[in-house]
Formats: sequence, structure tokens, C-alpha cells
Amino acid sequence: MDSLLQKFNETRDDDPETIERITINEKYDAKNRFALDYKDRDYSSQFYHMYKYRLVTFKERVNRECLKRWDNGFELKGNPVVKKEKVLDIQGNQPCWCIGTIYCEMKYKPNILEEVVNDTYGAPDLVKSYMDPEGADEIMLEDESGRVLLVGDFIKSTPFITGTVVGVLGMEADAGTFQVLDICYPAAIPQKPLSLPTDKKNHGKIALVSGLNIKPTSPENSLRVQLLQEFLMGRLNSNISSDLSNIGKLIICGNSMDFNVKSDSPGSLTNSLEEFGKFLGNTLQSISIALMPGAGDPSDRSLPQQPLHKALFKEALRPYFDKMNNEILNLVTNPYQFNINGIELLAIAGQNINDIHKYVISSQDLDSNSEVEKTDLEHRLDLMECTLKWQNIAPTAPDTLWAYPYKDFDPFVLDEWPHVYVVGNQPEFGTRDVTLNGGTKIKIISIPEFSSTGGIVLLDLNTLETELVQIEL
Amino acid sequence: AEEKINSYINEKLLTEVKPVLFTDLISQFKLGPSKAKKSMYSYYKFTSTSNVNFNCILMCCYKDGTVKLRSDLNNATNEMDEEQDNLTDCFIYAFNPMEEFIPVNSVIEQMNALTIRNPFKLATSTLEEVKPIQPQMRSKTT
Amino acid sequence: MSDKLKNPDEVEDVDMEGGDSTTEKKLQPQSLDHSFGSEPVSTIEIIPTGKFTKYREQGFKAKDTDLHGTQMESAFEQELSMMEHDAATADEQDTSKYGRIVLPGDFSSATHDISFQQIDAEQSILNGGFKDNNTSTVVRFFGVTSEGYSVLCNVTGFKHYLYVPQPNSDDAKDPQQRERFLNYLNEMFDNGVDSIEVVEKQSIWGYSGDGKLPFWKVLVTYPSLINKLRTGFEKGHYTYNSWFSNGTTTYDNIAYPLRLMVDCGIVGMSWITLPKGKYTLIPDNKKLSTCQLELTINYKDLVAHPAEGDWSHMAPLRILSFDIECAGRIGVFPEPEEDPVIQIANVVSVAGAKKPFIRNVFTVNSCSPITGSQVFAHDKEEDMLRHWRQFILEADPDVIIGYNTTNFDLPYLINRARALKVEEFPFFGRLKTVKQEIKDTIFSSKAYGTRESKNINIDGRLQLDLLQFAQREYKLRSYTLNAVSAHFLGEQKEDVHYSIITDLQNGDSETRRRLAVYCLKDAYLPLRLLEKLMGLVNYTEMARVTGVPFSYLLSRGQQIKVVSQLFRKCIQIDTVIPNMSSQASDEQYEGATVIEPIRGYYDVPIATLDFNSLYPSIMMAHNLCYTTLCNKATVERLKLTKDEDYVITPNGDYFVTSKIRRGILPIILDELINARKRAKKDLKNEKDPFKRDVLNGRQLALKISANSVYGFTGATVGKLPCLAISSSVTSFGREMIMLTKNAVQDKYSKANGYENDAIVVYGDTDSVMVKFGTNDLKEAMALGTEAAAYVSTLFKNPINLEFEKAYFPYLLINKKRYAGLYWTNPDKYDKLDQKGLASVRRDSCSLVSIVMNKVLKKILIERNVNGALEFVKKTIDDILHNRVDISKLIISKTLAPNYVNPQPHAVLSERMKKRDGMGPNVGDRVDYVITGGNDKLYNRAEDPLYVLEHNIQIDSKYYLTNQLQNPIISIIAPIIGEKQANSMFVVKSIKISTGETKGGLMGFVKKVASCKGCRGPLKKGEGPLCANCQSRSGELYIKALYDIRDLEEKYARLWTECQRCAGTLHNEVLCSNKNCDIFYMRVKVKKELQEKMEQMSKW
Repeated sequence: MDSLLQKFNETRDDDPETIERITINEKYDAKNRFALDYKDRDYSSQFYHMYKYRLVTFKERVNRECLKRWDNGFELKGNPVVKKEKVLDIQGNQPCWCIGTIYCEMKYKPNILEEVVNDTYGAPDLVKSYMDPEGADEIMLEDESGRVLLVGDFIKSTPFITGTVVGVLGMEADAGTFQVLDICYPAAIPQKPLSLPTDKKNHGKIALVSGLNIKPTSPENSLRVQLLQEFLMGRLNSNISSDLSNIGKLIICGNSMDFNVKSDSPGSLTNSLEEFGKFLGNTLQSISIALMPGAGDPSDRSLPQQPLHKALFKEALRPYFDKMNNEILNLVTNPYQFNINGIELLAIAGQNINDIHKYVISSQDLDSNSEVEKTDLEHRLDLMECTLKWQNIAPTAPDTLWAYPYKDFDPFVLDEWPHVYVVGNQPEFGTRDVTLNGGTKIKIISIPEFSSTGGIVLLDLNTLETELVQIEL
Repeated sequence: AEEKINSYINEKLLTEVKPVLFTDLISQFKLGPSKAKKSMYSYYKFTSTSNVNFNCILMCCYKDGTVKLRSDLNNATNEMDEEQDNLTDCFIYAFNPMEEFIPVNSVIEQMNALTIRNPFKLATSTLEEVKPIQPQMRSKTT
Repeated sequence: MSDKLKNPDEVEDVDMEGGDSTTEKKLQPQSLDHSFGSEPVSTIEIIPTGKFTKYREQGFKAKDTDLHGTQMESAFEQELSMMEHDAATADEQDTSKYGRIVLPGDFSSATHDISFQQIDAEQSILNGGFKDNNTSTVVRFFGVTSEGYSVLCNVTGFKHYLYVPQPNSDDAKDPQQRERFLNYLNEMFDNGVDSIEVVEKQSIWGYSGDGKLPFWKVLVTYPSLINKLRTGFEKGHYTYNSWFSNGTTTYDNIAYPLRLMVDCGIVGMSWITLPKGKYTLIPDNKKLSTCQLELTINYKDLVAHPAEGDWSHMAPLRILSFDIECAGRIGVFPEPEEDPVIQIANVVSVAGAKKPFIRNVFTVNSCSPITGSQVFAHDKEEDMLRHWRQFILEADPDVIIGYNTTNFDLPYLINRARALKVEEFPFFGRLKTVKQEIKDTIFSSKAYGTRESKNINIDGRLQLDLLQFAQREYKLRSYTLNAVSAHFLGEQKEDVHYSIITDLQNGDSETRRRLAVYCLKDAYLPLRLLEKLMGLVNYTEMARVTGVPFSYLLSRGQQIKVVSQLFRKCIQIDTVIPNMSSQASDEQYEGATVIEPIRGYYDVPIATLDFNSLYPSIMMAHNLCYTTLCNKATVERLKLTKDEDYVITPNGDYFVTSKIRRGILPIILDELINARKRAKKDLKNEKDPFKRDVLNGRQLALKISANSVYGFTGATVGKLPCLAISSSVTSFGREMIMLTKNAVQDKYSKANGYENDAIVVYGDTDSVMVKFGTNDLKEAMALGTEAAAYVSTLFKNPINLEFEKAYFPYLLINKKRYAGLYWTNPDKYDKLDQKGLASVRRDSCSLVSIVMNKVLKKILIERNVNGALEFVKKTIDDILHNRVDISKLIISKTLAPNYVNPQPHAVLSERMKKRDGMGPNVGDRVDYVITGGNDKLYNRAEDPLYVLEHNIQIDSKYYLTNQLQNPIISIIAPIIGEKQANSMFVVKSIKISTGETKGGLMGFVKKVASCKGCRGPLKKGEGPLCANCQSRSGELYIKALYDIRDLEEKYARLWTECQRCAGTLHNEVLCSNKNCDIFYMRVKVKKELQEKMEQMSKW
């Protein structure tokens, strides 16, 4: 050990002059579809408005794709396939296709009625999966006319998630049931042209991190966060400081604090906020931050979550919260859609994938014929890809993912595909380049939970390549 | 200057019985990170011949980007020797006089000691300075 | 994945079609998308695979011996398979699957036996000069064969009769004189008396020696004569030879259909076989009914099967469940003279089948199609009514069920058809020319209370109203379909208020489809309830055990069942039953014993020793019966020996012992108990689920029947009251309880070497509760078992005392009011048991039962008395601070037509009508809470929704003192003492008076924004906090934020749950089901969340 120390520390180079960090261009004037002012909120409506908006929006898109796929003249075993305008128009002995919303009736979905009746409302939610291992769960296709039960082997090999709007091809198999033979997703949506600069000298990057889960009572956690601070400030690895100065911004993708209001004392959150405030106060001197709330952060319980309020922090930090300083500290919503150097990024703190995961978590266990055992990471990347294909990043809202009751709007519905799709608070780092309908390419990035993995993801804004920096204890 | 640093470390480590991080040197003496790391090493050499009761916490930087903190040095010596081909840097992160290492973070004005500076400057609104006028009379409702 | 799905045959087919490039071209684009989540199109067959086809079981397991032509079964099943394969072909007008399977063309009396399960019996006369054995009267049995053919069987040749004692004079023995008397009678009754036979019989009433006596069996040609004939004999109208001038008792007063059933050995819902060649088929053009098989057979030729073994199964009875929707006027409950029927939903299933085979809905005006159901749209209501009647005739249900169909749906349809002058509508029974009529009936019974109801004759079809079934069999807080569904099926149901129905009807075919889906649900639920509650199975077995027709079970009380059993037993031993005068008697007799309770909270095990079927076993042990009852004179005359030939009961009645004569009632009871043992044993070995249901229904029916025999003898307004029997039974019971108490306390005493003196802390009728003194539960159970066996030896067989359970701990409040933790084995308690507490009182708010159950749970299960007291305090505090969910404070009462004094719910109904333009109607349940103020109580009842919307203050004191105080004190007073228990409420009551009061002045106070921290007034332009509270902004913001978070989650969870219950994501939740536990929660959370958001916007 002594020899190692001697090797590196005896003849260390002199400190260079202070380097100014690279400037990246983020657009701030875009309208935020996820913004939701308190004074504009209206809880007099119900959730059916959102589903209606989704169905109307996607019906046109799915219809275009269905017509391409199963156009007039398409036959199955000698029978002409017809389109059914409404779900309850499906009749027997007639192959047909129909567009509707998927609804999953599952045994272990949260059930407040049951909790109230059994007097267990308020107890911690320990459910890891909604799925009934005995296979009693049901998948249905629904529109405003009603719903039919979907059956067949096909539905076991494809994720059918509540809230997605799809077209299905098949036939009525039994009274009220529909045997599925094929499925169709919405037609392609636009993506802004992506022109990556050819100047390779300017290697701008952003750092992506999630799940700091700051908890002052955990020394290990505090140390890890402090190391993150030192890393971003360029003090840990002097030899690469010039590279680190190319990191133009830090995006915190939610769950900065680990706080459960039911189990911790009221003072705990104050301590967490104080600790987080120190991190911000130091790090902001060196690097700009965009701060997203997450499930464990002091923001809304429902999606979309609104930015953290300045009242949470000490007086000394409050200037950063002014609008005029959003280049330094940008307080953003969850989800968060932004443009840096012409690259469209969409980030979410991970609640969507974590909820969808509960719908399909056991599918591999049930599928004894599976020849390839997918890792959990591959599985989650699949789900991220699916949300892009479904063009709805939070289809299970509001059914099992709590959401604000929008009227005639659903901000989770995509009207454009992003270039980069970032999902935070995942168990592992992962990345995938996906090619969607029509040849659209999107980069998916799974941001690991920092508190358990120590991982920081660096995204190169020139090449869209990623690298993982890991801080281990 | 070296003596001042050693004296500071001694004071904090032995008298106050608190851990000393290399970042403490940066902020206390306005050092750069490289200089601070050197100073930590000097102190280590200076005290290695003495019977001083504290632990060293090492920071290892690897080629693949991993940054690793090590504290169980006796067991890790062999492991580190095997790793050294992958190492890009190694320095003393902290001296810890206690059983458990509990770092304390604090907000420090560091503009003169920054390695990398944020290109955007914090703007201060003069409106923030205006305090609300104290009401002359309070309601007796309560 | 795709390769695995390929069918090799299909691949070959594709190859053979190689030239069809169009098909290939169409298929190719599908396989271009190989990304995750989109699989290539499958090539599997587009027909249902095995796992998705309908269930094939019909629910009944016909044995081979039941069938006399396997070809018929095969044909039936093939037909059924075809039906199922085409089940999804719900063509609008295709009703071919509705009808029953067609009879074989070669069906004839010469070649086919007919075995059918008869479901109903009625008396009738065959016209056209038909006579068999000098009578035209028949009993009609409606039924169904194993194959599913409907049957109307006319049983002919049976003459009704009564018995009178042969007169004492010598000339009465002269056949010629008897012949002259017969002619004398026939002059009075127009030759209606067929004959008089001399038979040797004995009367059931009393023992006076062993001899049979001569009786005259008087047979009549017309059953209607029997009552007049009987009256003549009893009042001495027949003066011929002065034989009956003084009047005489007549015997065997029983209705004609039941008489035939008894004589032929036919019990309710049993199978009858008509041997080939013995019956006569009635040709189609002469049929009176719509049954496929209509026939006549002489009563001697039919073969009646006991409902056991191979003949215990059910025929494939068709069960129709239906529901109607009516369009009402604003604020008016629908009336058939004014308001149209707009939809009728029907679900038809076969008994035992898992799923219905018919699902349709009849609508007025167009309605969009519904997958899995048929929709029949009509332009006019009259057309729909005609069509529905046609549907009933075609589907030909054996059983018609519904929810409140007896008092609402069926009468409404009939009256509506009359108003529209659809003359042919009320002819949907199985008899073509018999019109359905609505009659009002009042049913009164000691067991069931008094209920007014309507009665509609639908010949040949059983009716089973699930509402009446639930009311008769279960004690619930509410009998709405919502409440009953929630209770038994474990699911809530969306409830659409009748005022919304009209809007849905007046919309378009989409909104009418929404209504139709809802209507179909309401039609399906009774079918599921029937299956869940095993209504059909249990009632079938009861009919079989007691021998009465199925229809008697809903329309008659308990007595007819015992009468039926008595007659069946008496006919076997040549015994006749006198026709007693049914006179109300003021005579009373002493009832059961209640050992005075030693009240308190017992933290040691209390063993419960129970007599097994106490009253039946007393009757059996001491041979108490009509036939064994005698008196002092008879005993002396016959020189009988006391305690050997006869016993004197504790109340002084004389009964001969079984050595002299075994009583009929003990024989009946013995057979019932043995039959139950056999049924339970068979149940243990049976694997078939449906068969298990039948056996379980049977053993329950046997148990109930045994217990009802005692009640029969004690009914003073009864068929055969005999207070000597019932009072003797209770006197033995009282004696046995006291003897048991003394025996246990004498034996288990320190004097006998036991560690503790046993104390009997309570006893009631047939059980004794013993504190043996030990803390060890296992030991207490062992002592209990031993004590029960010991005491049993003191009594005659089959009287048996059993240790059944221990309570530990045990809270003994008063007579018939206790609670305890119920253990039947030392390892784990079975349940928390309670009796006589207020948990299920329908006039309390649900908070009472919630708190009581919680307190009992803490005391008895958690052994945490302090925790229980803390919980009571917290509840009181919550009430005082208005923190209790309003749904727990709701009181519910039914609105009656007239009240002498003002009632809270009646006054509220009037107020709601004035305020809203509509309100509850007579017969509706009215939900209300009591609000604060100084007005009279009945003026302070208010609608819960109105209270929530207007932030009206609840009267906390009312709920504390009038709802909660007495029930809670009754539980905790035995533990902490009466004084301390009362003080928990009294102290708080004093505090209430210092609470906030709503004065008129409050209305004039100007609304001023207040500081979120200290509630002080804020100056204009200030933020949410005053200057002093600014330093606490972080802390206060956090608190406000977490209130918001909790409400956001609650809002989302409540309303998504309502969507799931409504079964739709895309339509507005219209539910007005106030019985649901979260109905008021969702209203409240919406309001609270909106308010909090407005406050948050000020930060």
C-alpha cells in the first residue's frame, strides 16, 4: 500500500488554474405540458375524461396502423375480416378487429374498499406484484360501449397493460370473450430532426443521477452523496478534470430524499432537506442542476409531480429558486421534457416503469417454455420500449399509478417521440438503442438508484453514447 | 505552510477527535485538490513512525471510471497490489480517529478554490432584501 | 415463439394453396415488425380451443338406471354441444336455442317409460266427461325428465276421504244400515259420496289401551265436498239413526294434493316413474298445457321414488332470472299506469351449470349490440311486452327468480300490460288458458313475523324471490340488492338511481346500451346469489325431507312440514289424526330455565356444556308423544306400573313408556336424526361438488325439521296443539339444567380433591357455562369433556351432554348478552363470539358496531383492557372533533306511510322534497345524520350528502349519549365498574357544553384571510404567513404538503376503485350506492382536496 501511495502522491502535478465549465444550451421557454398550478386545479371531474381523451387520440393513430396491417380484403381462413367500430359490436362467427383500451383485472391491485372494510387503510403497501400466480387475472378490451374479455395464447406472450390503446384482431370465442390473434399499436408519431455536431473537439455531456435517497441517519448514504459532490466538482480524479469540465449539467431524476411520512418523525424530513441543501449549495458553485421530484420527494403524490418549493430550504439557498437563476438551478416537474443542444430528452423518475413492472413481474415464472431467461434489466428496458411504442409513458395512471384527474387532456400521451428517454430510480444502469415504427430511433437510458449502486450516467451530447461512473464504498 | 497544515490536522484529529478530509484542507487553506492530496500524504509519512491511533481512508480511481473508497487497509493490501494495473490514481481521502466514519458536509463559499467553475453566476434580486413591515397592531382574536 | 404456434397441417394447406398470391401478400406485412411487444400473426385455428369452450356439465348426474334410452341422452348432449359451439353466434333474431330439445318422433306410451322430477302439484278437474274410478278430479304434477322434456302428469282415480269413528250402536255394524246411511248422505250431497269402508284404526291422540277400533272411511267423488261433509259430522247434522246427532270428531283433515302424495309416498321435488303402457299421452290438439308431454295415469300405476341414492339428483331445471327497468317521472317512483317499462333483461341457466346459456335484453327503442348477449329492440312498449311473453313460453323456465320480483317486477309488468291493453300478456304459465292474477296476501308466523306480499299464480313454474329468501333465512342490516350482494358475494355493485334511468333511455342507442348492460347485471346477480346461498338445493332437500311441495316452503309456515311428516308416519301404522278446533288459547306454560348469570369479566376459561338437540332428545328419551299421552284414570284402570310402564313428567303429565308403546314423534325424530347421520357420512365421502351441495342441503333440512317438531306441539294456534307435550318437554329441560348445575358443582369441588371449586356462572335452556377455576385452557377443556360425559350418565338415552367449546376470556354482561373468545381446541381460537349485543341493530349507526367489535377484540383477543379503554377515549375524542367519517354516523330507516309523531326520517323526506323537488318515497330507506343546534331532534335529521356539501356541524353529543354510550358501557362496566364506565362519557359531556356554538351573529362576520401558522389575520398583500411565522415557513409548508399528498392518494384510490366497481373506464361513474363503505369518503375527499389546493396556491 505504501508503495502505491508513494507512486501517485510524491510527484503529483501542480494544480491547474480554475477551469470554467462548458456551457450547454437548454431551451427554457418551451411550454411545460406537465405543469399544474395549484390555483388551476379542479377535482370536480372524474378519471373517465382521461381515458376518453386517450381513446380519441389513439383511435385515429391505431386505426391508421390497423388499416395498413389488416386492410380491406384481408382474410383469415376464408372469412373476410371486418372492422368493428365499438367493442360491444363484436359478434360471433366473424373475424374482426377493433380498437380499445386495455384493462387488467388483477387480484392484488390496491383495493381501498377492501382496506376500509377490513379496517386496514393506512397500513404500508407491501405489494410487489399485482399478478395472481394462480392465473385468475383477466385482461379486457374496453371502450365507451363496454368491454370484452380477451383470451388466447397470444395474450400471454405480449404485455397487455391497463390504459394502453391498441387494435386487436381475432374472433369471439365464447359469449363475451374475444380470442386474440394479432395486435396493432399506434402509427408512428413525429420526431424532431436530430443533427449531432460534427465537431468532435467539443465533447459536451450531461450527468444523470437518481435515487440519492438522502437520509442523515445513514452515514454510508451521507458519505456517498458527499463523494458525488466531490466528483462533480472535479476533485476526486485530477487527471480527468478537463474531461469533467465537459459535463455541462447535472439532471437529478427524482427521489433525492428517502422519506416515508408514516414511519419517520416530522423532524426527519427537515434534516434530510438540510443535508440536501448543503449538497446543492456546494455543487451549484461548480455545476448547474436540473432537479426533478420523485416518489419519495416532498412534492405531489399524484403524477405529474410539481417542482420542489423554495419554502423547503434554508434562507441562504432561496435565491437559487428565483426564476432568473434557472440556468443554475432549474426546478422541474416529473416527468420533464427538455431540449439541450437540439436534443429532445424526456425524463421520468421511474414510477411508471415500477408500476407496469407489477403487472408483468411473474410472466417469466409462468412461462415455463421460455428458453431465454431475461434479466430484470432487460425486462425493464423492454417495458420502457413498450411505453414508447404505446406512445403513453404512464398508461397505468390513474388506475394503479395515482394521477391528477385531467379533463380532456392526458400529458402522458406522446405527440412526438423524443431522441432520448430517461427513466430514473431503476435497480440497474442500462441503455438500449431502439428502432420504432417507421424507422425512428430513440435512445433509452435506465438510471440506477445512486444510494444502492453508486452509479452516475454520463451522456455524450455529440454521440449520444453513455458511460457509467461508479462510486463504491 | 506545511507545518500549519500538519498542525491543523493534529488539532482536529487528536484534540477535537474529528475526521479530517482532504476537502477540509482545500477549503481551509485554499489549496487545489492536487496540493491537498500531497499534504495528506505528507502528514501520513510524518505520522507513520509515531504510534498514532487513527485510520486512513483511501480513494482509488480506476481506468473504467469507477471510484472506490477503501477503509479496511490491512485486508485490502494484497487486493490492491493486484489491481494497480487498473489504477489511475490513489490518495488519502481522510484520516478518521473514530470507529465509524461519519462525514459532515457544510456549505462553504468556494469560489477561490474551485477546480471547475459554473459558467452561470448567481443573480441576487434586490426585492429579496426588502423585509415585510412589522404590523403595528395585532388582532386580539387569539 | 412463432414456430411453436405453427400448425403443420396449416402449413401444408398453405402450400396446397400456393397459387394464392393474394393471401400471401396480405400475410407478409404482419411479420415485418419483429420488435418487442409485437409477435407475428398466429396461424392457429379461429375456433374456440378447449379451454375456452363453455362448461359442458349440466349440473345433474343422471345415473344410467334413470335413463331408458341412452340414445336420448346422446341426442341431448349433441344438441347441447351444437348450441355451445354456436353460442357466440348471437344473431339478433336467432332464438332457436331457446326451446327445449325435441321429443323423439317415435315417443309413445307403449315403448317409453317416463321418469321425471316433479316440481309442483296442484288440484284440478279433467273435463270432457273423463272419469277414472268414479272421479274426474286429478292432481297435476309439473316436472322435467332427465333429458329435459317438460311434463304435465295428471294423476287420476284418487278419491279424497275422511274418517269418523264407527257409531257404538249395534245397528251401525249392519252393512245394510251403512248402505242406507250412504244413500242418506247422497241425498244431501247429490250423490257425491262414493262409498263408506270399514277400517281398523287408532287415534293418535292419547293412549287408552292397545286396541284398534273400527272407523268409517268416507270417500267422496269431489274433494270440494270434504269440508262440508266434515262439518256435518262434527256439528251433528246427520240425524240418521241418531248415530252422529251429538256430533263426532272427524279425522285426517288434509288438502287433496297432499293427501294423494302421502298415500302414494310422493315427497316434494322427488322423482316419479310412469311405466310404459300404464299411462295415456294426451294428443297435442287436446293439451291444456305447453308441456311437451301431457298425460294421464292412475294413481296406483305410478312409481314414486324416495329421494335417496340414485334418485337424489336434480333434473336439468331451467332457471330464469330477470329484471325490469322503468322510466320514471321526476321525483316519482314508477307507477305502471303512467310509467313505461323500457327494458327487460333475462338470464337463463340450468340448475348446477356454471354459466347461463341464455342472456338477452328486451328494449324499447334501438340499442347497440352487446357482446355475449342478445338485444331485442322494439319500437313500441306493447311489442316488447308481447315479445317477452313469447320468450317466456319458448324458454319455458321451471323456476323464475329475481330480486323483489314478487312485489315489484311481476306485478308491474302485469299491471302495465293491462294499462296498455295488451290482453294476451298475462298468460305465461304452463297452462295455456289460465290467466295470471295478482292477489294480496298477509303471511303471519311466529317464526317469520308478519309480512305483506303479493301472490301471482304461474302454474307449473316455481317462483323464488331472492329478496324474500334473504329476508326469511338471514338477519341483515339492509336487504337492498347492493347490501346482499356485498354480504354474500363479496362485491359491491354500481347502483344507478331511478331518476337517471330516464335520461339514459332518452339518449341514444349507446346510452340505452349502457342501461342494458346495467340491467343485465341486475338480472344476473339473483342467479349468482341463488347458487351461492344454495337456495334451490336447500329448499329442494327440505321439500324432500318434510314431504311438502316446494311452493309450500315460501308461502307456508313451519307447521305444514310437521303435519306432512305426521301423516306419512301415521299411515304406516294405521293411525288417524283428529281434526282439532283451532282456537286461540290463553293457556300458557312455563318456558326454559335461565340460570341467573354471575356477571363479570372472566380471565379464566369458561367451559360450555351443551345438550345435543335437547328438546328432540327429551321427547325421545321420555317417549313424549300424542300416542303415549295418558292420564291417572287410564293408568289405574290398566294397572300400569310407575316408571316402568309410565312416567309422570315434572309438571304432572302422564306418558306411557316405550315398553308399552313407542311414540310416533320419537320415531319421526329418530329417523330424522339417523337420516342426518347418514347424510353427513355420505357428505364426507362424496367428491362431486354439486352432489356435496345436495347432501349438505339434505342434512341441514333434516336438522331444521327435527327442531321444528317440538315447536309444532307448543303452537296454540295450530293444527294439533298439545300443551301437555310441550310443557312436559320444557319441564324436563328445566329440571335437567338445574340437575346438571348441581352435579357439576358437587363433583368438581375441593372436597372431592379438585384444585378448585367449579362454579356454574350461567345457563340458558340447553347449555351450562362452567368456571372450573383453572387458568390452563387445555385442562379446562379436559375437565369440560369429562364433566359432560359424567352428567350424560345421569340421564336417559339419547339425552347427551357434550363439551363443545370454551370461552377464554369471557365477558358475561347479562342474560342472553355475552361475548367471548371461542375455542374448540387449545391451540388456536376459532372466533370472537357474541350474543345479544347491539352489533347488528338496524337503527344504530355503523360506528356503534365498529367500536363495539374493536373494543371486544382488544379485550378478548389482545387481552388489552387498557388499550380498549384508550380506544374508547380516542373514539369519543374523534367524535367531539368531527374526525369520524360521516358514513359511520348514518342512521337508516324505512319510510312508512303514516306516523303519529314526527319522525326524523319522515321530516327529512319532506324537507328534501321541498328543497330538491324530489325525495325518498314510501318504502325507501332514508339515510340521515343528526346535526347540531337547539331544534327538536326530528328537525335536526339531515341528508349526509347535504351535510358534506354545506359543512354542517354534526351533533356530537347525540352520537355519544344516544348511540354509543349504552352499548359501550354495557361492555366495559363489568370490567372497570359502572361508575368509572359512566364517567368516561360524563366528563366529556360536560366539555361539550363549552364547545363552539353556531350563533346567528356568525353570519355577519367578515371573512378575513388568516395566517397558515398561527391563524392570525393577514394584512392585504401578505403571503400565506404573517411576519412572525415566516421563520417557520419550511416546517409549515411541509405539513401542508403532506396533507395534500395524503388526500391526493386517497382521492386517486377512491375514484379508481369506483371505476373498477362500475366496470368501465370510459364512462362517468353514476353510482348512488350509499351502502358502500367508501361512498361518502369519496365525496368528502373531493371537497377537501379542492379546498387544500386553493390554500396551497397561496404559498
